[in-house]
Amino acid sequence: MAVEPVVDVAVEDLAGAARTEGDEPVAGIAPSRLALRRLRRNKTALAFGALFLVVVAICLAAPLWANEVAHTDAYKNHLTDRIVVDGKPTDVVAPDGVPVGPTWQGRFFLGADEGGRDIAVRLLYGGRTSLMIGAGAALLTILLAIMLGTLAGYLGGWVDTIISRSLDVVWSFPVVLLGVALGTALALGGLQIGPIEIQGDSLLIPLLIIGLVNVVYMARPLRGQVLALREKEFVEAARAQGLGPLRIMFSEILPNLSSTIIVFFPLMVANAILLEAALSFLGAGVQAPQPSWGTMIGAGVEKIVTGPHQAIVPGAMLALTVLALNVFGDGVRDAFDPRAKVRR
Amino acid sequence: MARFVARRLAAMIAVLFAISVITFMIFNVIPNGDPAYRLAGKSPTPDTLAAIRRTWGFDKPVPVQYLKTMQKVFTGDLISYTNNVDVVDEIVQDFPRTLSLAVGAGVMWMFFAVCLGLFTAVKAGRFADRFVTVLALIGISMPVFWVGAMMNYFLGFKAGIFPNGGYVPLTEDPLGWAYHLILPWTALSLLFIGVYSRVLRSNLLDTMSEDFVRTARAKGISERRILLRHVLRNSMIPIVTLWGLDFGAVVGGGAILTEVVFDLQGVGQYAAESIKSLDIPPVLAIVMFGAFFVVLMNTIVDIVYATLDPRIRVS
Amino acid sequence: MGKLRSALVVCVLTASPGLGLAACGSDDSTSSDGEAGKTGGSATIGSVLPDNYDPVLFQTVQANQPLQLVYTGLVTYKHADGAAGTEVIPGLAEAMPTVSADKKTYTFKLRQGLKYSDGSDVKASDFEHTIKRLHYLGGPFSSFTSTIEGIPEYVKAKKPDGDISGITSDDATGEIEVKLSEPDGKFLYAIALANCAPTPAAKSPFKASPDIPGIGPYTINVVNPTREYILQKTPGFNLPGIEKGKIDRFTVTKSSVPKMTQDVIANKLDFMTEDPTGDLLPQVKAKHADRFRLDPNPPNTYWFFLNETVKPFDNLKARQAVNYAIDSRALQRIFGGRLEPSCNFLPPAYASTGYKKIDPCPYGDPAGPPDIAKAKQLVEESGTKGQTVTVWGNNKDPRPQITDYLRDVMVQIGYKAKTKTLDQQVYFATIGDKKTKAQAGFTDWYQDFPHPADFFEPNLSAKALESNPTFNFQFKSNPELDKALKELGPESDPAKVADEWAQVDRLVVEGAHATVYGNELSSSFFSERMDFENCSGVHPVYKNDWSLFCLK
Repeated sequence: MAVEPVVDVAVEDLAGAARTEGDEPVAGIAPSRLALRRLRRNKTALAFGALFLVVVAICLAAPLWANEVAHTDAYKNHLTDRIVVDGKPTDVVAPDGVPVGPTWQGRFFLGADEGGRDIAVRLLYGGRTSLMIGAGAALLTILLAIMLGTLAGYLGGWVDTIISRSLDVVWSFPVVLLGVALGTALALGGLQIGPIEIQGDSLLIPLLIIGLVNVVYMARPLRGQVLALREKEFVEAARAQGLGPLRIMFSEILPNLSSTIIVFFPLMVANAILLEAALSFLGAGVQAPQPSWGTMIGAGVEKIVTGPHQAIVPGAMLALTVLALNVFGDGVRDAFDPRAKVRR
Repeated sequence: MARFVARRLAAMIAVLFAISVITFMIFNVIPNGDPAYRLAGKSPTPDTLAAIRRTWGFDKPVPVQYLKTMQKVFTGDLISYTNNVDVVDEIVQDFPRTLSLAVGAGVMWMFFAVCLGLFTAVKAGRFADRFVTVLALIGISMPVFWVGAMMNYFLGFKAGIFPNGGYVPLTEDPLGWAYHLILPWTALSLLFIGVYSRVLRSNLLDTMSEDFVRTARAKGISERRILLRHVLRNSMIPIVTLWGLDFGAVVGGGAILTEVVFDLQGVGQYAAESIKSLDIPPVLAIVMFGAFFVVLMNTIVDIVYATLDPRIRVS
Repeated sequence: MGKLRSALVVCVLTASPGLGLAACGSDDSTSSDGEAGKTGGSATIGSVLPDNYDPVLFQTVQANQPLQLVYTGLVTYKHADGAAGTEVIPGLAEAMPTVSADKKTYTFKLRQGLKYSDGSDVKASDFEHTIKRLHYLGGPFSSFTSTIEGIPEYVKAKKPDGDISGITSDDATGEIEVKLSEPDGKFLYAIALANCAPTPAAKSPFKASPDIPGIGPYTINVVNPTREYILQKTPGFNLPGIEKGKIDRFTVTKSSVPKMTQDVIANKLDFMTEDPTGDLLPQVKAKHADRFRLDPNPPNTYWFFLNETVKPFDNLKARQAVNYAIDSRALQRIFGGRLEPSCNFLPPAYASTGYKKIDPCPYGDPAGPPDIAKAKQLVEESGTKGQTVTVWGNNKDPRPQITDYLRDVMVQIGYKAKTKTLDQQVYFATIGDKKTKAQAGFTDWYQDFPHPADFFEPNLSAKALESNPTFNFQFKSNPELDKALKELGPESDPAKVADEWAQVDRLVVEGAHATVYGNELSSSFFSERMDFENCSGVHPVYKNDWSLFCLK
């Protein structure tokens, strides 16, 4: 939802990109290097980009924390364990089911959940899952969108008709409902594509669903761009040279899409992470007991009265990560958008 | 013009048909979904199962079942597997709740988006602009269900300032209706305010550098008049069309997360529960309804745009 | 007070079957005070509404609670608190039926002059009509009456108005004769439930119908099938032995469980049919103990099933290992304290009919620590160590956590385990399908009627395996158990053969055919308006019998 309107507006102007690029007073330096320079000057964007990398690094270090500090893993139930907090022996989970809150110690640093599991450990492993699905789905979306958008835009005719109509159908399908329906159905039955069988609780399933569902947001703008590029002189020249359509798409069209793609990428990752959280919250994404920020928020919301930390922590982490991506993505867009001079 | 409209309507029908088939297939093709088992409860004897299949029509081939179910959607005869309720009746009842949420949020987000968009455009480049931009980005980054849950918990349960979820019908108690919906409206709006204010800001800045604005300034018209009379008007068109699309999406199913968190018992929540319990009749009906709404808003937006911009009609 | 007294006098004078109590005011009238358990007034109840308002088609306890007050059978359960509620007493019949010597024929005589809530006469043939509907439409409890002769033929004929040879009725005399194909001690218990209540044949079509008239202490008005219904005391209802009900009117509405809980706490709702969510439960227990109680009711047992036909639990040692490793104290926490550890398959409520506490429990004291070391050892000995096990569960709170706990235990003792969670609507049907080959997972059983066979037969017998899906998730049965079921089946008074039933219980536990961990305590949570002391109406069959509720 965050990406679609921004891009729709930008595209009309990206189509005229060539025109404004010609106004660029600096001669001789490739636009991409100019863009990177602009990005480097944007301290805020860089700071948040670094923040994102820090989050990624922390999550990747999950096994370290789990083994060295917390001495448990993301799945162990410590229902009947006792630990020492502030010198007093405390139940990890009290007999009436209420888990211990943040202890700020090595074990159960951020407290326990109702299954007696270490929230800090699950948070880190959950982060790995959410980030992995987010990035993977975004990549899938981009690859498919490039393929479909370019084919539809360049080849036109019945190829365009089929692809565009299919995109229309997916577009009209209420996104979250489609995601939940597919997520629920596939979680139950798994997926079989020819000889490849994917288990119902595999992380590939939410990845595929999110990746597919988001294609429409990117494919349409790309198609629009390709339509405009197709009429450009350099493409005509290539055609006159006798180059085949595939070659043209690869060597002429694609590079000109690169700035759009680069701008899209961080935003699509942010979108994918949010969608994964939403689906997992509704029970149609990552399946229990695998942690992800979405499943943790979902479980935490149910127990919010007795243990609010269970919902607050993963949500805050999620919001922070997505914010970092959004700010950085904003900076990237400012840098790569040829109309950046207006942004002063 | 008429041809354009006719073409769009034909496309709409084709899309709806495709969506209905896809939905039906998703739930019918997966294993573990046999509704006869669940309806049999504690007596899943072969005789009982056969009786149920006969009563409900599960013994017919899948295409026939599809046709029969679609027929029931239009005749309003659709019965849920879970609790024997008329699905269409249920949707009609739930719809005002979803609509209340969507309209209220829509008004709220438009209002705040315009205010913030104007503010940040005027103060472009300065600290206030950056600050509000970051706020807007925070609004986009927080998952709506988490924000909703936090608001519900801290403001509703703990502080008691707002009611703890639930819905009061407008006809019963207008003040209670609004009171219960303030938190859901806010939660749902945050995301859109963030997006729209930034789009508006960039549109405003672009428009402000156009020639006609320079001309107006040269003529001596005040900045404020320029801004509100000329610039805003021009920049609002894409915003309004976006609003149409997003509003359609929210009613069509985007409200699902907010409804679940605040327990509004709207169409979205009904869909979520039905999908989880593999209750096909409501899911089919709601998806059709949602898609119809989305496509309808899309078509309206397209038609409005076409009337404003004649070039588009030709494409 | 003067007005009230004169109203009272008027009531007494005009109370007669014809005019009924309607003359004395029904809705929010003032009520008489003094005696324990005020009569009159209205109450509001929060509930997950019935899955079906048609008496032959409902399944859930939330449907049973109102519908048992609206539809009374030929015989019915006594409306009394606690164990007294398990007694079967005459309902629409004059007296308990005469039973033939071979225990296969039951003869009922209908009371004279009975009328349904719509005013039509109750006819003897209405009973057969109800049974026909039950089997023609495939009601969830239809298997309870499948021992009636002629049922299989009726079902096969697929004609709604076909005849059931085992039931003959004479409308003139009001006599109903039911012949069974074999002696069935559960028969009277089964037809005492609301789904076998006679309803007027003319108004009971062969499709799901929500507006069927019945005869009972209350009548139901479905305002909105998914949001609200109202139970109104039936004016002039007067069947001997059947509680007329104290509260005049119940308004039952749907809302989410957390909201319901908060409303009862705030006294905006008088009662809720659900258990307060785990989240709010500690608060409720701490601050509102004066209107909250927990009972192991209705009688139930919670256990883990281990499929005995697939690896690794076809191996006895593997099953024993799991039994040793289960810690009921951990599960207690998951239940928020609402679990009583036990290792018996029958619940303690069956103390007079077959429950004898197995002491010592073969796999360790349920209230004590588990023996993980022994469990690990057994897994090694069984040769199943390292095998993959999928643990099944459903999404109703707190089952996901219970399922995860079992998974964790499996991992601890040496298996590679993962969970699979299904929606509760489809859960039992899925794991009960032979094709699924579910290896292990969550299950529970709440009694349908107070007879030990109700626990053993569907969950552990060979007979249960004849259906697919089945509730015998072990997919195997112990031949000794089947033999005992056959022998004890015809005995209609289980108290007489309590020792034998206790033996069956022992058999199940020692053979590790069910990994029992305890019995759930269900809550009754009332607002301050309700008379908690005298009228909490805890009933073994209906969970709470609303006809026993009263205001302070």
